[in-house]
Amino acid sequence: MAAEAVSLACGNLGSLLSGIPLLEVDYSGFRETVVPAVLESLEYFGAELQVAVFAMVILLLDLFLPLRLSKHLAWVALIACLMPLGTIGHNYEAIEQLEGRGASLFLGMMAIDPFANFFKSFFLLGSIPVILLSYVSKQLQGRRMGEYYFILLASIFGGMLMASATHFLMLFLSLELLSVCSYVLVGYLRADRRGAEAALKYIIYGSVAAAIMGFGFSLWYGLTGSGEISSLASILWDPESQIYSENALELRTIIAATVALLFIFIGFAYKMSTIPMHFWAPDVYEGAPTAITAFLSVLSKAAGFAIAIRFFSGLGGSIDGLDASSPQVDFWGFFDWRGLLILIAIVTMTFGNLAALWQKNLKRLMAYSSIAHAGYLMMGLTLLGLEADLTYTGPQTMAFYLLAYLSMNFGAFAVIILLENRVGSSEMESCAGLGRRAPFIAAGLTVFLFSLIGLPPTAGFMGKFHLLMGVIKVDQMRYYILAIAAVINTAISAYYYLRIVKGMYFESSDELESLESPILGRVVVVGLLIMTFVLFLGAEGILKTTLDVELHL
Amino acid sequence: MISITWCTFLPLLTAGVLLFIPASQKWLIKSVAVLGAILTFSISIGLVRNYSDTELGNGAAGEVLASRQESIIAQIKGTDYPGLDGNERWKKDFLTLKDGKYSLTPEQEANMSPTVRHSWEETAEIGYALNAGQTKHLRFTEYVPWIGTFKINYFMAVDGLSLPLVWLTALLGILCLIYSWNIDKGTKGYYILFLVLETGLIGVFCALDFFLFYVFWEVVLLPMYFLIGIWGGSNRLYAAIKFFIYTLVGSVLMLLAMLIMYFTADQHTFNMLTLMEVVPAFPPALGFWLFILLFIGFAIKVPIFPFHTWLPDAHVEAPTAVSVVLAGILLKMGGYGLFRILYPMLPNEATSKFFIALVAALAMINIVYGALCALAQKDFKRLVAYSSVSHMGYVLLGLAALTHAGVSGAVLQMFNHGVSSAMMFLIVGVVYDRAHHRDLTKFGGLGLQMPWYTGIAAIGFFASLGLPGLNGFISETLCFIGAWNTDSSLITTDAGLGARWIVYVCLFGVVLGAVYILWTIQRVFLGNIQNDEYKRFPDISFREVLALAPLAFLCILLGVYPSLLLDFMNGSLVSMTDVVRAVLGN
Repeated sequence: MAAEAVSLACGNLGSLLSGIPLLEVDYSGFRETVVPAVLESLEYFGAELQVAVFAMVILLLDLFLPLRLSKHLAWVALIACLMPLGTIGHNYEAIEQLEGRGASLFLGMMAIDPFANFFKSFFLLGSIPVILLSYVSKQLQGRRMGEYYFILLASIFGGMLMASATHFLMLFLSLELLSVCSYVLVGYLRADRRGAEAALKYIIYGSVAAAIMGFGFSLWYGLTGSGEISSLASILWDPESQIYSENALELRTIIAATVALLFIFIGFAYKMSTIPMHFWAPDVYEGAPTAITAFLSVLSKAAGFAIAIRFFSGLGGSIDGLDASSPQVDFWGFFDWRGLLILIAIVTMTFGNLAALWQKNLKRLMAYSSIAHAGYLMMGLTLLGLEADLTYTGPQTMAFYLLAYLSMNFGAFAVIILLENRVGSSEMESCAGLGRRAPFIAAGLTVFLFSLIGLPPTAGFMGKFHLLMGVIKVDQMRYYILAIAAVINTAISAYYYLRIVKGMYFESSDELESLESPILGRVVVVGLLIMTFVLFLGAEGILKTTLDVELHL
Repeated sequence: MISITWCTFLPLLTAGVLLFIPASQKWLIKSVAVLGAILTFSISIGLVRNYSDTELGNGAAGEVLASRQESIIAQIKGTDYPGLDGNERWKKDFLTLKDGKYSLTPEQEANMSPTVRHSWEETAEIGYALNAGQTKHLRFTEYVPWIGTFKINYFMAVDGLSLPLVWLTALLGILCLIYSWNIDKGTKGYYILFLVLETGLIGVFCALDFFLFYVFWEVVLLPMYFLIGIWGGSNRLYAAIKFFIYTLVGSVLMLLAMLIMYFTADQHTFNMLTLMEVVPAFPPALGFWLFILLFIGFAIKVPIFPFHTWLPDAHVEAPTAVSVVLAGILLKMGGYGLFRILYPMLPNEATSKFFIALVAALAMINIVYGALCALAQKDFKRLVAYSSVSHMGYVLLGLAALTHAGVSGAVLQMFNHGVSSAMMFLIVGVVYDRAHHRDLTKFGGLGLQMPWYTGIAAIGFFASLGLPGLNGFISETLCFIGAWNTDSSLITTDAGLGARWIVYVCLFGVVLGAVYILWTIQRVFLGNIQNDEYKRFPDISFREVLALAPLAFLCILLGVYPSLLLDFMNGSLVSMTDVVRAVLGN
């Protein structure tokens, strides 16, 4: 019943969106089909709604709270991130009983499946350290924080929508929601000139990327007449006669599809900060409040990857039982998008690591490091739709790596924030002698950096190991080259991460004053340290979760 | 308590205890650390005493693995498998798996549930492992599933190849900690890192799961980096990063090879014993690349020319005790990798003309080039470092020969070098502590001033030179016998090198070794005292004697009575050699 209603309504909405046959639409069915479908979908939209409602509540509370209490809105934001976690699991159980592993919501706009659930939980969990670090950070002291947490929650809301978007309209809206919120957050320190410059750069790059992506969508829509992500094959391929429709194999169709694919990828690359849309990262990371830098480097990037996974899975054909010999693969046979991704992955990680070698500012260094890690993560993208063995496919390996990346990158930024609080700068020289001045956070940063290199016994190793396993499993020459590039890059990256360690332990500074950090900051560091080790030692338990991360729509 | 797990993790545990002792309590920190090392050493003695090559029991790998296999089968028996011929058929299939050889029909493959498939693969995997030639020598086995998804197990065991190295590690652990008693800068960190290092080293020698091996291998890297970088000499930053990057490159290549093996093997396994049975059947082209990847990985650690350049830098900058571990144990990790992993897993390549010629040629270069470099050094420690390069060449030579004598000699040479090079670095350390420089041209006449020191030093130097009656002589001779022996025609004829000229050149290396060592003795100990300052030098202290005497004793003991160690290792090494030579058909 529900499925029928949804599909019926889908058709209506599709024609609504397309604009052209608007006059022919029969509105008589609207009340009977569309409204119930939306209402039904709302039941499974609880987690997102909670975040949105809490965001509003924070904005309202801020009106009544005196300035000095405003920073304590962090605790409300924290609840806003913890509460929906339960709802996500609950929703999923409910829908699993009704519809199986995944279902479509809001007339084909969004999906609810294990993949979306993982990323939603990821954003919620990941925003906990962001909120705590914002609370601790000195940069953000003495300001009205209501707007800050409101915007932060709104961007989390955007990220959650991105993870489940299955329609280009939804995808574009959610991506822009996240982006616009990020622009504001980057420029939140209005008096700071570098922050303002960073925000401006971010907006300009973001708008260009969004415009190009939008153009890609329009081409796609022109080809297929539908805005659904996985629409290309279903439109061009006739399942009954098992042949392509006539215009599918024409050269102009193929060229248009390729251009559309490349343009859409530009939009994703901007969010993932991979080549060719990585230029914004160093300046923005350096200028933004450090807590926001952490947010951009982990959560915003993860959102980009979530959406890229859903999009490229649609091309490869791992959905609905389509295997490697599916029509989609044939259709894309002329254009080797996996080869392109492999190339981009290699260039991205190599560029990120080489550029990071010369950096003198910690935040800038972490920006290039995050570009390099986007390159590692792209190894997972190249695996999409290839493999029947679920242990080593793209979403699973990337889910694990993202968890590892969350623990180590937030950990590194937590220490940088604690350091900035005391020293007031994020230049590398401020690390000198940290091993003596603040033994605890120095030891913490050391662990996080070793994890970022990818050395056991830490999460980073396990994550990279899992990705490499996936790549080598494919057993093709170009994938071996990718694997070799990745491990050589690991060795290169060791050099600049160790430069920080070297500064902390091998160099002494004139300042000998102890730099003890606030208890809350230490709690965050300890929590992330535990996570870093647990992801290695207890990998089996975590894998049980990440291996379940599957796409169903 | 007498288990490998305790032996491996006791140092780590001690390091954990040290964390809670305030840094100002230096004496307590040192005592606790030494106590932990002594306990570790006692456990290793227990392992050595209880080890028996011939008798089962003591956690023989065969028994432990078989019982694990039984328990998997027992679990499977309880359940039913729809879509197949019925329960009885399955039981039978599973039972035939015990010897590891199996092939599934496509129908069976299709109908297998993931859980059953998992159990099936593990049963087969263990079946192969039970067949491996080295399995019967392994004792004190521990086999616990760890990351089941990737079939990674906590699989540790020791045999005649690894146990002596474990014992040596535990011994050097104590000696180094005692010798480091005068470390004043960051005592707590130093002792903690040293103990972590010891755990990593022992773990490398005990791990029989490739993944576990890799983890321990990398764990060694981290404390070493800090030990060189914080407590090292003037150019320590450069040396530390060079050491780190060099070895990291080697180990990531090893990681690639490991993953390729994992996926090429039907069983998807990291179990080294299984891989020894399965990998030889891989296509030759793949084997070639695997050999290259692994060889470079281990060669960097040994170190083999041209990957040796990190070694002199690291040695010169490292504090004495760290140099001792670096030369005594760390280099053996590479050698151990060759014996445990590279040769048994890739016997076809190991016995191919190309690689025999390559390894033998590299052995020759190591021996002669290392000795020539040592001759040219003015820095005492650099000289000893290059002598290590030269001495590790003998290990390669014995290995390339692939005869029983050669392999026994090579492993004995690893152990002996661990003893004698450790001694030499301690000797350098003693004189450096007094003179604060290591310039060989400025010493002289120390024999008059420090007679006791000179006496002990002479033992170390002559052991390194290969004087009969001391340990180095036995192992070097065995390597040469192995390489020379007609049975080892591999080097001389099959490899197409035409003659035994490689062995001749290597023998020339022994002469060079005698030259640089005798010259060093002359420059440091003989003659008149050059500098009045040296007249105030005290003779060797009790702490230094404590560190040196056990090693001197070992040099003499193994020189006079080498069978003590040779008999202990014999069974395991013969098995290993036979496994590798089996592909030759003789």
